[in-house]
Amino acid sequence: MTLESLYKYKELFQEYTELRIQKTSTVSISLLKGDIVSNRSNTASGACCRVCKDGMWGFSSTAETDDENITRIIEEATENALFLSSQEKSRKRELPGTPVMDSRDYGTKKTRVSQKDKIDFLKEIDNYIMTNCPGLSSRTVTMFSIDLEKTLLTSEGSESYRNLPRTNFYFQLTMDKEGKPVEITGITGGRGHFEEFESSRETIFKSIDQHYSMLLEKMDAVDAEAGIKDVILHSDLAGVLAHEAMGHTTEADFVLEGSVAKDYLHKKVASDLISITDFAHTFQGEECLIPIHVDDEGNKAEDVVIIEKGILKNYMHNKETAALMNQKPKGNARAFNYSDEPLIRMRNTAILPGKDKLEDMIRSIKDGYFLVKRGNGQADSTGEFMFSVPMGYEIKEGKLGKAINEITISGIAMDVLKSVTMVSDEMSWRTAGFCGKRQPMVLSMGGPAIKCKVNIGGK
Amino acid sequence: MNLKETASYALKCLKKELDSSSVEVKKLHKKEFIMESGRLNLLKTSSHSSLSLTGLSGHKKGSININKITPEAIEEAVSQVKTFAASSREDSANEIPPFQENKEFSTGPEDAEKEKMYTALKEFKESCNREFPSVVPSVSLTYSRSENYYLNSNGTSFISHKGAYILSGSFLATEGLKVSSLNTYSLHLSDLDTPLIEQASIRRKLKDTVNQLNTSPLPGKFTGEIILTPSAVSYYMNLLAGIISDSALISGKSPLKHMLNQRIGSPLLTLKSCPRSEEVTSTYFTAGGFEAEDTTIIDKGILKEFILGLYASNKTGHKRSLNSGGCFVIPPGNNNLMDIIGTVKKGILLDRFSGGTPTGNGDFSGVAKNSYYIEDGKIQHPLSETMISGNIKDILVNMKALSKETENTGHYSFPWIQTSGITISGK
Repeated sequence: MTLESLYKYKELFQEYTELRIQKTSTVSISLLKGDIVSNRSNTASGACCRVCKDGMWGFSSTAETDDENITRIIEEATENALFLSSQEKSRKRELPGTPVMDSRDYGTKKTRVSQKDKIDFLKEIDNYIMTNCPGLSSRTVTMFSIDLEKTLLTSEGSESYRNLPRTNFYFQLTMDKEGKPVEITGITGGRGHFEEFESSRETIFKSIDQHYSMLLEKMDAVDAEAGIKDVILHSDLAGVLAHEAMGHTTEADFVLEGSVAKDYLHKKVASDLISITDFAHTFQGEECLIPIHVDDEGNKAEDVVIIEKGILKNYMHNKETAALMNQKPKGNARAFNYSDEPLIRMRNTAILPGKDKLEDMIRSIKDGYFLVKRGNGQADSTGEFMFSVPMGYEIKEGKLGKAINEITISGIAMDVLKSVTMVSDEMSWRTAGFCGKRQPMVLSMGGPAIKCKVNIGGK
Repeated sequence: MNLKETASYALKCLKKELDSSSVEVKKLHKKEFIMESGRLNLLKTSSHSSLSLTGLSGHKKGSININKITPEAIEEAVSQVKTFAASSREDSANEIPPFQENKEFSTGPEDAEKEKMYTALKEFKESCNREFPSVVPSVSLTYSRSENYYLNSNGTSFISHKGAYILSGSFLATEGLKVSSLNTYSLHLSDLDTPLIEQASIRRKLKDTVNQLNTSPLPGKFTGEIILTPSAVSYYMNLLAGIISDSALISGKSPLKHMLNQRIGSPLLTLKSCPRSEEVTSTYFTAGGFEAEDTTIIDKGILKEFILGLYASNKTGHKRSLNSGGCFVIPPGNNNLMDIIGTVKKGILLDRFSGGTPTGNGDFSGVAKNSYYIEDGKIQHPLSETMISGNIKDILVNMKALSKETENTGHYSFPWIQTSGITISGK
């Protein structure tokens, strides 16, 4: 549906109202040892309406986007908001925000390829692995793509259209070591439709070669020693640290709930070397992997400086928390599906690069670890975080040593960020998987390599 | 078209284009109250349909899910399934389930009054404020009603009607600068007759959340005993399920792949999967299109079944399991929880494990959350910055006591379980 076709519903808006039309489409193809174990697509499209009456919210959604159903959800959302506001002791509160108009389409301009072409592409990757990675006991090759297409109209006058596709390729290589599987996973891809990556075979093949080498090193890996250790976190892990360790605790809904960051605004929470920003759409003149110009409440998206030279500067807001804390919403309110209400979500969160060279950082450690790949991570209200590290190396007397077996690292975010003594001058970005917070969400993380102290779990 | 007619129409279209096929149509109605950070401020209502189509051309398979059920949308989706199947590769393991006796199932409340839901939640908030004033509850109370129609080209027809309430969310306590760890929960309820605060684990979790305001780390590292709360047992049973299911068995990565009908756990452990039991939430037919039946996965420590769908069964040569897993029940033991705690020389009571995805080998490593240090048979203090690591096989083999007490969340029913062989490391 076009934005213009929604204008007629404006006259039904009685209170603060958002009307959103959305289509979320995914395609998943997966080959396990060459067999196609997933060959499916999923499309969920529909309309939703959210209404605010004196601080109370009503929401209604429908898969049908005909006139009758859109009218119905506007009435139902309004009725839901009125029900709550009549029951709860609420008071009128203006929601901050200025109208904004924007239209972005990140869809491919190339001719769309067929499902068969995609399967053939994955088969080619699978054949490359079979030919070039001898000794594997299992291999998996997966393509997962998601398109998020949204059209938004709000009672305050915001209008936006956004089509944001993302495509990732995953490969997992497994070898047996004394009957036990040793594995490594590689991920490529990013913003854009499949067609944007069709010519990236060589990049994927190169990544496979690198991961196969790491897998061979992992076959001779040693156990890491448990306890607090000096480590270099590769840029890939520093991004997760920014996201998990500080990002979640500075989401204003979490702050209102009582997260550890609630008492530290404008206070020192990290080393002077650490600055963390949640970028809206642009970093150093380049478009971010998940560019957001207008969020799902119709707020203009701007960067949020979370930490500047070690000082906690800002929280991330939606309209409601911004109103409660007398701040300005900067585009962090996003919903995953048409049936979801917007929540405060990060967009492109990164630790900013410093001035150190990675080799100098490694040289500076007598006994520690270089952690190079990340698995999943979680954060807590206390600032305690963990994430798994499927690949890393010992550092002995300033030199890289043997590979280490998979570990989990943890720490208290502020303690770990205060322990940072070096930050590299190069950084990388990644978008893959989903962040979970009542709904999944696409976002990106970035960072340089950092030297810090973390708790290493182990036997 | 009603849902049954929609399913029949979709199957008719698929049969014209493909050799064998299946259809599942679902209609879901939801009412949801959301209390965020102690503020009840959102009421959501929704009504959605979804249509899952699977088709085989020979043994080449394609699947499409859409959420539109108009004839035009169905025809387009069928054409897409045909294209997907044609694009795929022959794999003789792909099959549509054979004919099964047609059945209709029904459970749970048929509707929910929003006033009753609102009152239940408001009373819950008041009880929390009165009894646990430092706790900030985030709660979602949802009523959902689903109608499912499954049909396949071999003549099977299943229909189910299910209504239920879901109470889920997290607790967090604050006091001055002190903040507790998040304590999450999810309960499946058939009615709202019992006050929410009295349901399953809720009061325990609220008490624990307050206790977690005053944590301290554990010095040093040791291999000790561990008592898993029912929430923690759930984590480890799901981990186990992962390594005896489709992908782990097909890839050959499962460390238990050769252990069918052999001992993998303590004789005290019996693990059942009960999708048809009244004890836990009901699932009448599997996603693969078989009528679900209750089954015993581990019987007194012996692995009796892998959790395999039809494709994985064909691929591995092992028997297809009678359900898709989940709905786990572990019968209680003979010991009082306090007596079990009394036997622990040095160990921890673990409620939540925050860890990375376990390796294919079943190794796990992560942070002990909402947990307590036990020494000389007594709970000493709540823990922070404590990591645990081990292997699921050790957890199963080393079980030495199961409590008489159980918690039934509606998703599972488990006792507290004492086990050992886990490395516990503090700061």
